[in-house]
Amino acid sequence: MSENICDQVSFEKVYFKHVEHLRNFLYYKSGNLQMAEDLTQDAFAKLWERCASVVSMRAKSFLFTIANNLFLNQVKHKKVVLKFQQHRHKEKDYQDPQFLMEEDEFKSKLEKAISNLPESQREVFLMNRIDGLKYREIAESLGISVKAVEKRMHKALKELKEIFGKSKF
Amino acid sequence: MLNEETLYARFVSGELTDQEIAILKENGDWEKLSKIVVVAGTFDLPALDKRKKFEALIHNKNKSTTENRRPKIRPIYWFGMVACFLLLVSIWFLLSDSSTNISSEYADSIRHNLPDNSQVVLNAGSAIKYLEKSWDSMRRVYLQGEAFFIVTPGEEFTVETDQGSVRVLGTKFNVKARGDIFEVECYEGKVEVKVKGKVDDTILNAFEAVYNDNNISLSSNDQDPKWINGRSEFKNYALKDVLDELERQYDIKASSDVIEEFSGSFIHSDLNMAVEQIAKPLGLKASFSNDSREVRFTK
Repeated sequence: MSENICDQVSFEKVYFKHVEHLRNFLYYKSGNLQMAEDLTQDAFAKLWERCASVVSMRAKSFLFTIANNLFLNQVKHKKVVLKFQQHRHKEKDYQDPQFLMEEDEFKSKLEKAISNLPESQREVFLMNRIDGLKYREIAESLGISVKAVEKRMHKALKELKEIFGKSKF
Repeated sequence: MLNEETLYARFVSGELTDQEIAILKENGDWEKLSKIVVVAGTFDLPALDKRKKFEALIHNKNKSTTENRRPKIRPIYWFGMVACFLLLVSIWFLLSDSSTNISSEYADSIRHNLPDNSQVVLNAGSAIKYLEKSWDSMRRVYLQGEAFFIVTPGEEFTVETDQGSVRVLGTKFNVKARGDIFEVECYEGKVEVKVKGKVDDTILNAFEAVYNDNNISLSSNDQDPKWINGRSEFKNYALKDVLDELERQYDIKASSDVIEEFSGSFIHSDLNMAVEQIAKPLGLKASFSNDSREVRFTK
């Protein structure tokens, strides 16, 4: 297949398919939602400029590579602080307050621990957990091997497991 | 042996061998990892309005090809810059219109001309504040204590106090705002009195007054409040408030352990006589300290 994405219909398809993963990926890296959304737009603008030379199959890795470069060009690394919304299941509303409080406490501990992970581990862990991407898909996006993804995932979990050591959980 | 490098990753993807599962369950990692994986799985980011973002992208893209990519300062920034500038200018104006403060010490009374030649006479221990530059557009005086106003006819004139406000056109009136006391006496024209915390305004015509909540008629022989002519007058005043006024007029200390109501007056020119004028009607004895700076009223 060698179709390019210079017509608006193909481009739109690519956009809708990847925009959220790309935005999230940039948020995991930067901890800055506004920046993540701006850079996402910039990455797609670049993709559009080069549409003639990028076939739709390669669009994903192109986008992630460009996004990563754009991110690296931004201001020097600051400490990342990630905050997430949490979708609780309905039935959990009936849980007793003590339980909910401990859940919240655990959630913020986990957020902090994730924020402190090295970037390469953090993005893999969150792309898998939040975006629900398989290791193969993450590997494609980042342009690395599946094995490398698994190693990063393993290291991330090993590090996160430490929060149990430091608390009653 | 376990494949250590990817063990936890395969836990997540469900690719562990039975042996590995057994080991993780035994050493407690199974439970910990489950909790992390499950809770992290409930994390979410704010929703993304893909359609809107896409439209914006296409819009920008079309613009940038036609406009040759000018360095972009978004319209909202322009708005912001203009708004900031206007804000700074108005703050500068406000600050540069510094307020004029006039205050009278104890045993002191000050006559002051406002910018439009309206007059204020401050009773002892009182203060006013107003903005001189914007006086023409807003005649507004902040008062603490007691003052008599003779206002030149013109635009609305307002006296603000902590206890309430008085709004007038051109007129003569006295405002006393001290502690719990808020009294307004109108000697000429008409004033509108608004007591703080009350919904209804009270309109006073000439020779009418409000003493806190009560409307009262003044004698039409009185053209000015008594204190202007060197005498403080009281109707059913707590003795304590009378002694406060004595302190202000003579800059002394006055005290009493008696709780009485006082109706009467004292003069401002002779302390001994003033003390007598308070003590006598109540059947009290007044004694001075050695330096005559303190007076005490007793039964």
